Amino acid sequence: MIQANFLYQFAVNSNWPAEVKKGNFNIVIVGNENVFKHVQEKYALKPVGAQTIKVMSWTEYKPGTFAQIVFVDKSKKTEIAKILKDVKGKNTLVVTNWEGALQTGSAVNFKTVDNSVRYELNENAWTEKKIVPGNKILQWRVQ
Amino acid sequence: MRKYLVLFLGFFVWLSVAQAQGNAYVAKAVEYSNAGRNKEALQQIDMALQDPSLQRDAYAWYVKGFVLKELYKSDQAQSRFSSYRKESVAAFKKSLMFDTSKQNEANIKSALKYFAVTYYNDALQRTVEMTTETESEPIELFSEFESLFDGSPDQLKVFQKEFFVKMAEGHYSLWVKNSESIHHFQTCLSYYNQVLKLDPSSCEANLNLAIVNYNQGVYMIRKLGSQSDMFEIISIQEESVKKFKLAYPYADTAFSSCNPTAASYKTLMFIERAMGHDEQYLKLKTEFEKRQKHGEF
Repeated sequence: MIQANFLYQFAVNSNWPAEVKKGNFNIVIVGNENVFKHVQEKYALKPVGAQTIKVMSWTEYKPGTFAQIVFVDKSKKTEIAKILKDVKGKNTLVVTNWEGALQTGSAVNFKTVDNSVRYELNENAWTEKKIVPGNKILQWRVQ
Repeated sequence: MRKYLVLFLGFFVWLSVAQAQGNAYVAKAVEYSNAGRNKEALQQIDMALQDPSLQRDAYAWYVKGFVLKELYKSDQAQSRFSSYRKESVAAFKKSLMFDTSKQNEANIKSALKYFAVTYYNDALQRTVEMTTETESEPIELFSEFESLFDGSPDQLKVFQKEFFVKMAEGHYSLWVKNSESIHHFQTCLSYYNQVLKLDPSSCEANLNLAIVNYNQGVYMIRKLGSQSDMFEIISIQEESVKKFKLAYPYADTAFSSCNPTAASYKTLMFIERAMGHDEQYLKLKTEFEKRQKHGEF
């Protein structure tokens, strides 16, 4: 549930490139039905600026579909290389939830700190995607 | 599973006319009662008891207790706060006090035992029906049961345990209906803790304490939404983790000290997941699914 809440915060507290500020604000959840359900239940159709959130749940990653945020669950970690390759050059924020995922190229990685869900950032990945994290995102990250 | 007690109805059903000798009102009350005319019998015995010489008469009070008991059974058995029952108990107690011959002692004790059972059953039933306004009613009824109970302290503990569990369940239901109010949540915890004081190994109390604490943590997180900011997510999560940590030892005890059930598996599984213990969660989940597949739950 907490991961779902954070995904929404990443959506609304980031500065997105103008070219992806049109149409729906797509959030793709790969391999985690629980996170999908919570995002869908709490945030589907909520606004991000002038856009409306559309949430999709995929058991397997489908190349070619654009999403502003792609969350890849650890159960699908073997697909991360394929996903990163597909979103290369696109303004897509890749979010993961396993140890060492930032080194593979994801921009945000959830980790457990004192039994709580926190997140760490890969600032190079954000820069590369031309997405600017807001102060609130920077303030609450862990190292 | 509610353990209502079976009412013991097979005790004395007839008043002795022979004992009523000496007072016309008492004799008439006995006659009416034996004819099933208990309201008239009550009028007669009340008139008899206005006579100062009968106010310490064990048999007169015994007749009054008997008549009121019959009226309770016919007119007020569904009434939780029956005046007939209360007055009958009082009359029987007076009779016991004045009955130096102990002639009716066995019958009176049977009658009081019967009333104890009715109070106990009403107390349990009231826990299911109670509202915030009537939450003290089951306690009052149970106190009446305790005052009439004549078994050993260990036997009483069995009833207290059952009652505390039902009170905890009742308060839990009221909390679920209004999770903003912490009163019912805290009272629920307090009753389960009273069960643990009586029986520290109680599987039911341990499991339910785990569930109640876990659910409170989950409710906190569920309140988060698009109106919440990052600070709120972090701080509410910290509060909910405190609840999960409170829940954990109870879940662990219920799981390891009792025969594992689907509920004890799921409770421990979800608490592990909520605390970020993914490996333990997956281990339990696999084990649970395997046992479920084998029809163990």
